[in-house]
Parts: sequence; C-alpha cells; structure tokens
Amino acid sequence: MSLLNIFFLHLQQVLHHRLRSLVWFFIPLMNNLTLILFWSGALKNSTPSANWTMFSVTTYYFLLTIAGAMLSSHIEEDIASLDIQQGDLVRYLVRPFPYYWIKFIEEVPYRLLQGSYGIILLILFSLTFGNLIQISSDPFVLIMSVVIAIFAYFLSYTMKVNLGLSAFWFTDSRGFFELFTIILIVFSGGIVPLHLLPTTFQTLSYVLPFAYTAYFPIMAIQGQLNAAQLSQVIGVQIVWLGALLLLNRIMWFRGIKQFTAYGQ
Amino acid sequence: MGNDMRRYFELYKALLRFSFLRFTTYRALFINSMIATIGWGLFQIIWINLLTIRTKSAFGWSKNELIILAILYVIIIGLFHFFFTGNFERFSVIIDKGELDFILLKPIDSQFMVTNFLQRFPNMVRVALGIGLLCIHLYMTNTHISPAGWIGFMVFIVFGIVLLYSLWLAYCTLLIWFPRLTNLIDFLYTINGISRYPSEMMYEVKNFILLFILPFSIAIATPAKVLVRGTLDGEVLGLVFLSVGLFIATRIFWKYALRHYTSASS
Repeated sequence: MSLLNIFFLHLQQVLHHRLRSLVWFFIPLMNNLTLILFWSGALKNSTPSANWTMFSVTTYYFLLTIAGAMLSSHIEEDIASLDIQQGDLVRYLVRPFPYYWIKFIEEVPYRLLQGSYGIILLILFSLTFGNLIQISSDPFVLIMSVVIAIFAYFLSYTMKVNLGLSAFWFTDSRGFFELFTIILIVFSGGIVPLHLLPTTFQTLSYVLPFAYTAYFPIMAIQGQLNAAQLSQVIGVQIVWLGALLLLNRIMWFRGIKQFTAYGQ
Repeated sequence: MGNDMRRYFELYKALLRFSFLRFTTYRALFINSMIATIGWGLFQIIWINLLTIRTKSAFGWSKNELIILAILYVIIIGLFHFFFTGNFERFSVIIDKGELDFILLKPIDSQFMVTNFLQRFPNMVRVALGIGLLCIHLYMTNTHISPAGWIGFMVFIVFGIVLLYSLWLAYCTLLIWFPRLTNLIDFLYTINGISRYPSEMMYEVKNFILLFILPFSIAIATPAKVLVRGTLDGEVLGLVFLSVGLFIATRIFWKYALRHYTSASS
C-alpha cells in the first residue's frame, strides 16, 4: 500500500512536468521519423527483400519509438549524479524499502506517461493512414508480447541501475554511459532491424542482452515470432535478468561500503 | 569599433585559455569526454554503414557520397560542439537557476558572453578523427576532390556553422519564456542529427515541418555537395542567405527576448 502511495506521488510529479516528458518523447520520435523518410528513398535502390518493405519499415520504427518511450529506462544519470555523487542516497538508506524497488517506482510513471504519448500517436497514425502498421491479432502472441515487454523493461531497468551504481567507483562516468548508449543503439536494432544485418552481427546481437530490450518485443508484437521463438526469447530474458540482478546485488553490497556521506 | 574588436578578441583568447585549463584540470572529465567524443564520432560511421548495408543510393546520393556526408558531419558537428554547444547547454542551466542576471550586469555583449564562454576541447579530437577518416575513405575509394571543391567546402563550412549557431540560439532564446524546458537542448541535439541525411530527403516532407528541418539539413549537406561534386547550385545561395539572414534575425530576437526577461527574483 505504501509503495502504491509512493507511486501516485511520483505520478503527480511526472504529470506536473508533462511538457518536459513530451519533449523527451519527441527525441526518439524525431529520429525514427527521419529513418522512415530515409528508407522511403533508399528502398527504391535497395536489394529487394520480402521482410523489408515500406510497410514493415513504418511499423518497425513506429514500434521502436513506443518501445523506446515505454520500455527503455533512463535511471542511470539520476542514480550516478544525484544519489551517489551528490549524496541523495542517504535519504534512501534510512527508508524501509529496498533501493532497487523504490527507484523502480520512481521510474515507472515516466515510462507510463511517455508510453501513453506513443500509444496516442500510434492510434492517430493508424486512423489517418489506415492499416500501415502491422500488429498481430492472435491473443496468444499478444499475451506473450506483453510478457516479453515486461521482461524487456526489467532488463533495461536493471542494466541502467547497474550502470548508475558504477558511480560508486568512478568520479565521472558520463563517457562510459555514452559508450554504453552507443552499443545499446547498435545492438538493440535502433538503427536497422537486426535480421537485415550480416549473420555474424546478428549472432552477436542475439547473445548480448540489448536486443531483448527493444528488437524482440517489436518482433513479437508484429507476430514475426512463432510460439517456440517467443518462449525462447522469454527464456533468454530470464537468464540475462538473473545475471544482471546478481551483478546488481554484488555491486550494491560492495559499492555501499565505498559510499560516504557527511553532514551535521 | 577597432578597440571593441580587440577587446573582444582578447576576451575570447582568455576564455579559450580558461576552457583549456578546465578541460585539463579535471582528469576524469578529460578521459570521459575523450571517450564519449570518439565514441560518437565512430558511431556516425557505424550508423551510415549499417543503414546503407542493403542500399546502393538514396535521394540521388550514392553510398560512397552518403558515407562522405556522414564523415563530414563528424567534422562539422565536432567544430560546432567545440565552439558552441557547451554554451547552449550552460544557457539552459543559467536561465533555470536565474544566473542570467550576473551576465547582463557585465560590461560586455550578453549574446557574446552567453554563447562563447566555454569551448569543448575534446571535440577537437572528433574533428581530427573525422579528418583522418575522410582521408582514409577518399584514398580507399579512389575519390578525387578538385581544389575548387576543397576551397568551396572550407568557405561553406563557416556558413553552415553560422546557420547551426543561429538555429540553436533561436530555440534556446525560447528558454527565457519557458525556463523549465531544459531538455530542449537534448531535442536540439536530435534535430542536429537531421544534417547527416541528404537535403533532398527533406523535400519529401511536403508540409510546414519542412521549414523547421530544412535549415538543419542544408547546413552540412551543402558544404558536402560542394566538396564531393564540386558544383555550386542554388542550395549554396540558399545556405549563404539563410545563414546571414537567420544570424541577423536571431540577434534581433535575442534583444527582444531580453526585454521580456524577468530576472531570478520574479
């Protein structure tokens, strides 16, 4: 109950700054609309491919925008700068809630608001341009997609929390964060869908956790994966989530010993 | 006038020195900034190579020309980031925290002080990386650039940067009315990304949005065209007129906005 109250308090704060959230939403939207525009010209001179037409381009980048807004956590800067470097962590340490979960509750309202912007845009786009967006209508696929999306968010969130916790050991981690962002964009299908890339690149992407935060949720909701592949994606997500949570516990318990706070 | 110019020149030299000292004093900042700037420079090359993996050309630009455009983006944006973006980022904080008052009280032009206070030296590494990549790419693809192309490119880079400066200043000036919108800077970084694409692509947007995105696009694509194709077409004139016109317009807009600045206490 207390956690729910905390959630609503944060939701109020997020709604108070809804224009800022809208600007954050416009950032991936702008990128992806530009990519759609690029492909509208590039496809005329491309190697023909059955799974990469203007229809699938539009669907992919629209869903990528929604996935970016709804499933991609941005908590690392907050944890590193405000909590660890400026010392705000102290106020969390004296509260009777695990730090991992309280940050989770702080982050969720942002994702809900930005995700709702994405869904509104998707509805408007679908109403204007008809069936240019391809989404599966199979209830089983939809349920599995929701499960994959939830795990995708947890994966993204845990990765970013761990990234933020690295501030226990580094005085300035921004360069490291930006490198991580670049790797994430490339291997999560943020430029082009992974199935269009060379086999070696695809294999590497499927081994790393990044594709499971955006690319696979998109493929799932489009109905591009069969039942076995959907289960396999969930399995890999669970394995990665377990590994990242283990890393999180190690980083937290070791890092907290490094942390010092001063005051009178 | 001459004295004023010399005073500003001396001040700029002092600010350059200050920025360099700041950059070298904090070692973690130094290392991190270098990593980030090289990372983003390389990202542009990875990005265009992935994007053109299945395409031979787009909007009349061959794959080779698109790669050159991406490399030139690394160079020109590196220069722009070196001179200005740190200042625009700082500006959003200045407005939000009400520190503009202190700048307005100084016996110096406020626009100069706000937009030239800080230089980001790590971006010179990005510029050097871009130049190196350009030389390697031109050599490997056997692309010949005429001397006129090189000269034209150097000249129009200046207009491209002036255009970007004016656009950023115009948008950032809005912060005087909307001080909480500090993430406008992140949005500007994103819109800047449009300049990695051929300007012909933007003409596909057949509505009012074109007015907002086309200037960003021609800022880099036009000097790139001059370099690669060695031709001076109508777009070159457009770049010159737009950069000069917008520079004057944003100056007027800045002065107008300052009249509406209500200071920190209000």
